[in-house]
Amino acid sequence: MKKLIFRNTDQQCLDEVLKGIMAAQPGKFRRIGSEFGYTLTKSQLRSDKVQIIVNGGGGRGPFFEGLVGEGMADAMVSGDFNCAPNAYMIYQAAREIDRGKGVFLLTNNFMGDYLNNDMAQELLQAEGIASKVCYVSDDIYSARGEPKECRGGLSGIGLIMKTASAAAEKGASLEEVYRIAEKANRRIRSLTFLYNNETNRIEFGNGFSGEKAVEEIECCDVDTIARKVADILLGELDKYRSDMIHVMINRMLYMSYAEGYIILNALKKALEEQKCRVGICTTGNYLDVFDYNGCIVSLIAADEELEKHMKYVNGFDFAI
Amino acid sequence: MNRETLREGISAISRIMNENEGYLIELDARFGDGDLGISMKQGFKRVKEYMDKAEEKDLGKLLRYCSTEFNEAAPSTLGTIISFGLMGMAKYLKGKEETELKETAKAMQAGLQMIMDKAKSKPGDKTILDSLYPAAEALLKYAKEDVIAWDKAYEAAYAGMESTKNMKGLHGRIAYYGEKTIGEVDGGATVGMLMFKALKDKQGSC
Repeated sequence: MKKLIFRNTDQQCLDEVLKGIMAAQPGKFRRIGSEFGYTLTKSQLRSDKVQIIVNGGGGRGPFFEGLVGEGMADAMVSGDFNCAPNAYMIYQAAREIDRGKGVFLLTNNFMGDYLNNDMAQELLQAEGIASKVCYVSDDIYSARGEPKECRGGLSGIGLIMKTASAAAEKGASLEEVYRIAEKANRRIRSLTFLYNNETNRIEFGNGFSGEKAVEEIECCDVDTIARKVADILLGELDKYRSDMIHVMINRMLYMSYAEGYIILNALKKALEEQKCRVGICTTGNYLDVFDYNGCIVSLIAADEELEKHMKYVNGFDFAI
Repeated sequence: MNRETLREGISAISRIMNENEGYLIELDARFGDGDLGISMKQGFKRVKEYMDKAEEKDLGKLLRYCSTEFNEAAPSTLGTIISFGLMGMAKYLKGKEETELKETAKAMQAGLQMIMDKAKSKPGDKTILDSLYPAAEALLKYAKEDVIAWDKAYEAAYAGMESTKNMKGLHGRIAYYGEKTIGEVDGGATVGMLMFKALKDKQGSC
């Protein structure tokens, strides 16, 4: 994965990312923990709701450093580049922001993230702070042939986060927020596809730790690709096909703004051809884990209950 | 085991991880991301620093702090697994200031049980459990014969580590390599073997 060119030392990078974010939005955040503990919380916390902490590896786009704000998380904890944050940091952030209604933790389903969130829960439990964790498992190409719970997470976590956050803001209890997030997680699917410029082919299903593509096709027009993507994802979401389908396209590091919208347009058409009702569609550079021109496409099928919590959310420099 | 012997044990483990940092990095780089040596060195160094200053006598509390200190310095997957092991031991030893070897071995087994529950893995999966599990069993079996118990535990840890050569990796990034991992010793199991080597060499008064 890409090494940062414009930096001081490797050690300082993530600390300086957070300082930059705080400089861009003065007064909005509070930093807790040590210089190398990467935790941001809202500076003003509502005391009458469940608090939401999203966490994961650091330095890879707005996910996760940019996820604190209105309609999003109350705090984020990031680890080093490509590393889970440690349990103690998560625990510390939770203890700091809990206002008695409990803390909801949201992370992607990777071993390191799973273990550290689980351990954070052990630490919180010992102090009587209620917590629940949802491990997002939207990546259809991971853990193939195993149950969905075994899959890893991609950028779909953004959609789960806004659902959970909307529920919490309306006063849902910790149990309710957890139930709604789990429901959203059951109804979300993501896939990756990217352009390999050495072979001039489109590859599907590459993983960001170097896992090879599952399938590849000749480079072709976007409508054809979009139909294929819609087929695969709707195939996975078959029993929820009549629900409202929301779309999120995460541009990888080298996909242009224009290409993102071209794909979004093609995908919306492809879904409508399949008689889907299409809800919110967004595209952006949310998660930078892939050094390619390509994208991660996420679809979520919202039933009536989830639909109540689905709205556009504007981050400082992105929309989901 | 009491605070002093725990301190000596941690110190010996920290030393052995320092000495083997390069070897562990090399082992891990074959199928992982190569940070195993670094995270083990950092994790045990931090725990050693904590133990050097600790005034607490309750083994449960001591090990609980060791667990969070270790996790903070080494949040990698294996680091967190070891933290869970320490936490499991801490729960078992809550309120105790001194234990017989038999109880120490049982505490280790409680720690390993917590690892198995949390990481959803078991001996035979090519992980650290393959050296730690038989070692804790041997320690318990020979607990009455203080002198040879640590030798037996180390022998079991070593044999367990060797046995991972015939196993296929199932957990973590190594799983991606599947069959190709057969023939290679597991880095985590090597860490487990080194822990017991350190404890044996200091003539384990734990």
